Amino acid sequence: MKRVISYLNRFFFEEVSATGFGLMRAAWAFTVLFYMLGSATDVVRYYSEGGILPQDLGYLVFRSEYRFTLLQYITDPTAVVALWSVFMVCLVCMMIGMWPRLMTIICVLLLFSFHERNLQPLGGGDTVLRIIGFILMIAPEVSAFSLARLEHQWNHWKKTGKYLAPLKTHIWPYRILLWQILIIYVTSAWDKLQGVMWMGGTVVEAGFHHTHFVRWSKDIMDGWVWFSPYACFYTLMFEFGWLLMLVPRETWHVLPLWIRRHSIKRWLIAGSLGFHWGIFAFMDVGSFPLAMSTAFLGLLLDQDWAAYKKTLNKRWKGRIIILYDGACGLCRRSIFMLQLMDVLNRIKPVDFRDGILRSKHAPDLSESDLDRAMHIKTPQGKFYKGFDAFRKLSWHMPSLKLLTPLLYLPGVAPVGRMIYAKIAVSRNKCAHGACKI
Amino acid sequence: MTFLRRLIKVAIALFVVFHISSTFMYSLYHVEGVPVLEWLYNKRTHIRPYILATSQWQRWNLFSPDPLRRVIEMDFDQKIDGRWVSVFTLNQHNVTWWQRAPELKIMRRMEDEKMLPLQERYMFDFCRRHRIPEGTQMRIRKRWHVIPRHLTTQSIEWWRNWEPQWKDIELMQTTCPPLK
Repeated sequence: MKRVISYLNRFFFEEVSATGFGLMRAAWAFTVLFYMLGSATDVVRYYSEGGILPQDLGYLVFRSEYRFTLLQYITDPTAVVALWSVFMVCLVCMMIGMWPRLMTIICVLLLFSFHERNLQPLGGGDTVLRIIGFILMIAPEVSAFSLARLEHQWNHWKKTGKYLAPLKTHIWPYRILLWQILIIYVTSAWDKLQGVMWMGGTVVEAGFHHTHFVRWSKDIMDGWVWFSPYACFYTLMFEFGWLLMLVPRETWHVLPLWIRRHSIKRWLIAGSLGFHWGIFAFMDVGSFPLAMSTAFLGLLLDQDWAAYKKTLNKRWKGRIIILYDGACGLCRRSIFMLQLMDVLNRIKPVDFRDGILRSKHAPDLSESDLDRAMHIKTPQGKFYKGFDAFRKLSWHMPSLKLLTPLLYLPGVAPVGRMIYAKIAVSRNKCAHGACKI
Repeated sequence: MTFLRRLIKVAIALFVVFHISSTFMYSLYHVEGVPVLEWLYNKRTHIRPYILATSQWQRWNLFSPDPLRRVIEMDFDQKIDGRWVSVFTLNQHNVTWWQRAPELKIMRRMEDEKMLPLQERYMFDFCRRHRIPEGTQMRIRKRWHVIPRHLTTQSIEWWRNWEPQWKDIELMQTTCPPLK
């Protein structure tokens, strides 16, 4: 009995990383914001009494029972636009993590309200967003990757010089999410077996000629019809493949090592991403690819993040030494942020005001040299300073990777060096940990 | 305190089980011939209030059982000097890329005969947006064709030679309401 209770306790309440759900919160808000902004010019048309679906015609579109929407009471076009604007502001707050718990609840309820008001424009992606929104709303911890968390981190770091322990949460929201994804894929695959075209391998060639969805001209799509049987087979295989997630991990040891050393879940996620973004390349199916990608973020647990780091660090050895001014508040804050972003664990900050550390890591540089700009030393012993050091560092911070190519555009480097020099000089005006730049 | 914590844990675990069972039961279709699934399907009435009230309704018939093969577009005609003149066609070419999915979905969902009031409402909205004077006679024509259903794949050559067979039908006529 004790073993059963212990198993159940682990099944529902095992502590896991809250990173996935934090990322999912931010991605969910971004996706909803992106698609709701797309309908900005149609808010009055879609959701108000002056639009294409007045309440008295609702019987043609929506159900009459167990339906809750604020827009049942807010019907005036101006008021609807005002509510939509509030929704957009809340989504921005949710995305950046300002009052993440409160904003998540408000945004999810508002999304329900808008969706329940008019079902006509909704597609599968909208349903996914509504469903994962609900899971986010009831999940106990969604504050990873938020401004609120950043503030806590900063206060703790200022006091103790250490970061807070990684956020943890119970596993049960993950279980609900995983189950939901299984339902989506497996019931979809089951439904596909009820027809004849999926098994005949002809769905994709027909789909490639439906002009509501295709992105390219008929000539281009004609050239891709050979792909149809492969795509149909792949779709059925990977959708049913999600059933493998129901097989208890404890039984995997019967499989050969080369299979079980890889995570089935990560393979399924990678296969699903390939499927959804493959469709996206050829067809416009609304928010579905982005919504599903958002859902996959919530499925990432500690071992997935560890595998991610391991893969990216496979060819990486050593640490990048960052020589910073420990006497300046701005520099300390910068180091605080850099260390937060250093998810691959590739940097090591060193306060150059400490003579012993300075002579250990940069014996050829004087304190006044180092005082002029932040210097970094790569594992190969090469030094970079100022803007060039930041540009070099950006290669190693996944969150800055998108920015990195922009830093190499012609003209960016001289401007960057100028701005950096200005900041470096102004930082000496710092007092009590605060800097006026 | 420990008792309360345990009670909360039990409540959460029960809720999780209830939620996953409900979403599963509500997503079941084509259960004929599978007794367990049929039984679950028939019990849906018990979980329906929960699923609907929490907006968790779902049905994953994505391009299935067979994909949508009917391609439709709607012509909006205006009577000018006693003749019908096409003033707008609702199709993928005439909506912006960000409106494409929702607007074409709305069109597909109002094409049926029983959706006549929605078609009329859509037309009123069209009149309002295009500032068409009150009393102007308008009509909607639906044009459609059906992509062939094949049981085996066809060659690139076959698809290159394929031409859609368009048909059309008048859906409704109305007059524009007063401009506000």
